[in-house]
Amino acid sequence: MTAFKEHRGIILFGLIAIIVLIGAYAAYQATGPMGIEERFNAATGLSSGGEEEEGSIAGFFLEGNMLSYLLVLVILAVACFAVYRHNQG
Amino acid sequence: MAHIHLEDGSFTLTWVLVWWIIALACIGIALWVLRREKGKNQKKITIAAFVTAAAFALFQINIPLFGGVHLNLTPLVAILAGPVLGALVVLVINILSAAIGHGGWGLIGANVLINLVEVVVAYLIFRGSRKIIPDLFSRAGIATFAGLFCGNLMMVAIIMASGIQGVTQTPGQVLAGLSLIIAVNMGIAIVEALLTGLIVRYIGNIRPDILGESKP
Repeated sequence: MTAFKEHRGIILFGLIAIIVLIGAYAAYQATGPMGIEERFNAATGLSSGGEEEEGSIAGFFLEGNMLSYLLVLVILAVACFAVYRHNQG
Repeated sequence: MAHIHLEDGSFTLTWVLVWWIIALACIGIALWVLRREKGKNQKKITIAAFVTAAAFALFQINIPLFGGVHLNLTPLVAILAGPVLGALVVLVINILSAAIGHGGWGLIGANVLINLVEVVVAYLIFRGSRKIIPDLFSRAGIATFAGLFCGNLMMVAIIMASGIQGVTQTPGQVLAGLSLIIAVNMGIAIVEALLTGLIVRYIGNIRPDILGESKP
């Protein structure tokens, strides 16, 4: 009983993960392999233009424009540094 | 994760405005609370800046799991920055995402509300279950599952309430389709829960003060 009390968090986490995994796999089998936007279009009945997967690396790809993404990341990094320095002082 | 991946024009202008107004009202409340607690959130602002950058970076990357999904990190934002700063973080992420072409501008209001639900629920579960689940990893993981599940429910509620222009499917068919999206989205929630749990446990080990926890 004590062991259960000590590990109830991880047991609950594991149970949720198993249930969620079974549900996700069943849904995936029902819909077939689709990208996010295709899946949304299929669910809502909109005509699908297909997913853009330009520059995909091992199935990973970037949503949106790559150059803008990098630009925004640089701006955010600079902002983080500025906030860190400001709040350190 | 929970994010409406529809193009601008999918919702009528009335619904676009409704979700924008509600989202802005929530942001207004968050700003009012921040002004009232002047100076108290100084350290958290730095953390919020860092989680904004991290969440933005991951939010745009499509992971080839269950056909393709992306992480949100909204539960991590909630746990580290809190719900007030978290509201501002999700607004910034959604605006920047739309700016680079991920998500429509008109859907920012709706998407902010969805992410806000994730932030608030994850925060409440993480804080509220401290006595029942002292272990940081599983508590953060469970909070992540709960937050993301509620965010998905909010997404479906928004789509069902708004309706989508130009579709011939019945609301029942749309609901059935969206239910499958929830199930698939929750699949990636496992990855997000593991990631959030590991990060929170790591931070809890080295800097428990950031989490508002006492040292173990």
